Amino acid sequence: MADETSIPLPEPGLLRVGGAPYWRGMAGVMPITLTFATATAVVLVSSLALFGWQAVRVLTISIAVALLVESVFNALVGRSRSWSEGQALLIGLLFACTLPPMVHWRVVVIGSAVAVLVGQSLAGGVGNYLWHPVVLGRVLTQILFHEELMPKHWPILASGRFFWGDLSRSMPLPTLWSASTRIVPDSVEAWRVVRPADQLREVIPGVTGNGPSEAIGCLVRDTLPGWLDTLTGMAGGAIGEASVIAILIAGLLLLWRGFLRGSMVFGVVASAAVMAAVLPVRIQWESGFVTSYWLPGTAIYQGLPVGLAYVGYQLTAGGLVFVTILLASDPSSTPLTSRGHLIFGVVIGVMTILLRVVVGMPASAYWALLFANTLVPIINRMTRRRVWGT
Amino acid sequence: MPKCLDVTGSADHARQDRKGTAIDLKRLLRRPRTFEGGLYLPSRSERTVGRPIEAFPPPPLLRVPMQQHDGPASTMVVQVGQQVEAGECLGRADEPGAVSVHAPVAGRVVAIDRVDTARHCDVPAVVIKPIISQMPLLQPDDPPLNEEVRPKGAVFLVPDLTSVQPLAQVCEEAGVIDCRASARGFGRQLREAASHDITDVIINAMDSEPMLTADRQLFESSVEAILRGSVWVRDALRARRVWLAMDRTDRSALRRYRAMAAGMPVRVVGLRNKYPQSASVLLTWSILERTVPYGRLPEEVGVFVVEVPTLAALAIAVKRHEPMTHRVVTVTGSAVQRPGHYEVPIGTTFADVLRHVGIQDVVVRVVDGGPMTGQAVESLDAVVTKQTSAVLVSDRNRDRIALPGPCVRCGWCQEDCPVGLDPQALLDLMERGCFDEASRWYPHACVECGLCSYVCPVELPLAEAVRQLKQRVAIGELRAQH
Repeated sequence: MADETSIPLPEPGLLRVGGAPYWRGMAGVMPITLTFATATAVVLVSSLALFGWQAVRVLTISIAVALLVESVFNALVGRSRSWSEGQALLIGLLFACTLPPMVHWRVVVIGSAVAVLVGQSLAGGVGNYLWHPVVLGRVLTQILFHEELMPKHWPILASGRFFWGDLSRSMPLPTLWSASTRIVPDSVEAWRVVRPADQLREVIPGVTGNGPSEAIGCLVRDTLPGWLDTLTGMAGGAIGEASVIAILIAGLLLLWRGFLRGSMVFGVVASAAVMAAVLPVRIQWESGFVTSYWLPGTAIYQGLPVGLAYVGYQLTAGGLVFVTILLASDPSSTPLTSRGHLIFGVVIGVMTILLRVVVGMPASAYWALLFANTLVPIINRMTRRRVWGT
Repeated sequence: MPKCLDVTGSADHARQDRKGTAIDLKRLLRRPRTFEGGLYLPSRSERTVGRPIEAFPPPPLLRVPMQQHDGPASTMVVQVGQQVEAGECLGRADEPGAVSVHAPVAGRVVAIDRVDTARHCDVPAVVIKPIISQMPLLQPDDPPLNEEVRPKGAVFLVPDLTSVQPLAQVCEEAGVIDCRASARGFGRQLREAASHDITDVIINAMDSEPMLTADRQLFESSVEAILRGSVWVRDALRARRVWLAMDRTDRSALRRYRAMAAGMPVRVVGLRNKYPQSASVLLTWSILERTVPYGRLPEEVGVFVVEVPTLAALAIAVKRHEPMTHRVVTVTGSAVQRPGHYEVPIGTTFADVLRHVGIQDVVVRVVDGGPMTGQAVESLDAVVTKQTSAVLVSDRNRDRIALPGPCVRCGWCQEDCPVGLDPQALLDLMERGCFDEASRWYPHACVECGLCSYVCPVELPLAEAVRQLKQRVAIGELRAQH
């Protein structure tokens, strides 16, 4: 029988009621903002290591402007400060990750303000925007400040100077040197490197008498950085784009939580790889002629598959990995079902490589995401699930 | 995706099934399919799994309600002051669709009152003061008890099982209901099923929800009786075969049941325990690959799904001549001191249940049913009915109050819905009041599993919205999908 318990039974009116279910998944434990903030924080650790306090400068301005714009807008419109406050913080964080570390502060201010104001607040808040706010801001700043955003040489801190080096004291990285293994001389704290994405957008120099495979082989061997550099971020890039490994770790968290869908990542990787392997590269010979070499993915030079290495660089260069994992996992601007995400990923992959190789546009991954966001309502309609029994 | 069957052509598949009774190698090798959507939920059943069923002593007062299912209430036939025996009829099923109610224990009627149950409010009830203080367990396999301890209730004839009429009559006289969330009288269900061409009977021996283990335990403790009951149902409906749907991870149990079912036309099937596999349309699909058309019942494609407590009550009614007066419930939850399986007499208040099992923390929520499809009760004066499958008691630390945010259009609700609905669109239509348009989104396919609300990252009340939408939207005609 019941013991002499000191805990009394609840009085009527003190029991919680409501509809089933009374279990919820991870919603209360790890809400959306916290998930994305943690993922971005993982990337920011690598950014701090690679870019030092310059990155902190950009971050601070971006976040401050984002929060300010959102608060002002909410006050003017009369909306109470609620959930979307966390979203403005995320937009500020992610927008900062898309910028090079040495930009002028006006770029950060304008871009962040536009991202929050137009991308999120005017569109109606969370869940109601078509385009990713960060992409809107980035694309606008690309149009307004395109020279500042695509410098010839991108700075990164040298090994031994991480976290507290000064990016302005830099020297260009000599050819065939690897930024992660070479020690920089005293009084210099950073390297200036040429990004793989910039190199892949231009024509490849070729030596007359040798074949096109040789041209690609020489590109891979001599000009493009090694895999260690590319993966750890020593190959340069924007604040959040540089370190592929950090982004992949952040991607694991988002994958586990369910925001990043495996089908989309597969779509991006597969379609980008196919496009990169198929689309022609332009080779400029010593005589001045420029020819197109189709199927560069099949190039073999001295017995090594340099074509595959070229495809690998296309996949990891520039903002593609960042866009795929951190921007294309935003729930509000992406399709609903996993099948839709696959198509979404394919669009991103195809457009990025097309814009890079055929058109030669800078910041191609962001334009590709913009295009894919525009197609999301169509994708949703195409991939809606069929109701049982209909 | 198979084409859905033409409703009028249900005899075609029946003829195909009857083509050969020889061993069909293809069917033997084919594994049961799983459905798109759904989710593997943690079972959280460690506290109650495997515990034997315990008897529950009659509480000081029993308030037996006259309506314990989705249908009209029964008519009261006793008066205040009357002495009733165990199993005596308290409420007669006069209207079609009503189910008769019987006294769980011998006692005296002290009042006629109104009581709330989890699913119905303000139901007339008979308040009985029991005269005995403890009762043995009702096991279907045991022979009828001695008359002094348990006097006989209504006397049922052993049914002639060549047609459905005698079996349905026994069920109606014993007050057996179909033990599901939306319960109907089992006798009536049998009669309605007989008008369709039933070819297969499926016993749902899987635990329908996390934390609920009473069905498995009940099945485990009386396998022979339940299998025999299912064969009676099969014979009465002239079906071909009985399928026993089980969780495939319990291999020793599968082997045991296959051995026990050797002589009977029962086929044991191991299914993946992906929630909500035990919904009847999904069982029909996974075991037999037949799609139930929108707005219809599984009977119309020749499948009759029956739950374990229903068959146990049927076996008790036929073998021991006793009506359905008790329900084996899982009592569990973070605030319960002695969780387990209890055979609770109907009409026990939740307060008495909690007093018996003991509570170890401040209780904030008491749920009649499972965590995904149950119903929270407003006060502990609500009573246990034939429809109650579990009592979940949670405390402050484990229970959560949902604070919904704006929809982020993540699509997880649509992704995990087992029947392919779009719950966020339905919530939107519900909030805007567009009920005409809502019927074009086929809300009646919903099996009320609650997964949409479970996965929603902003804790929207999606399951509740679809449930309310179903009440306001007629099924309508089946139109081509736009």
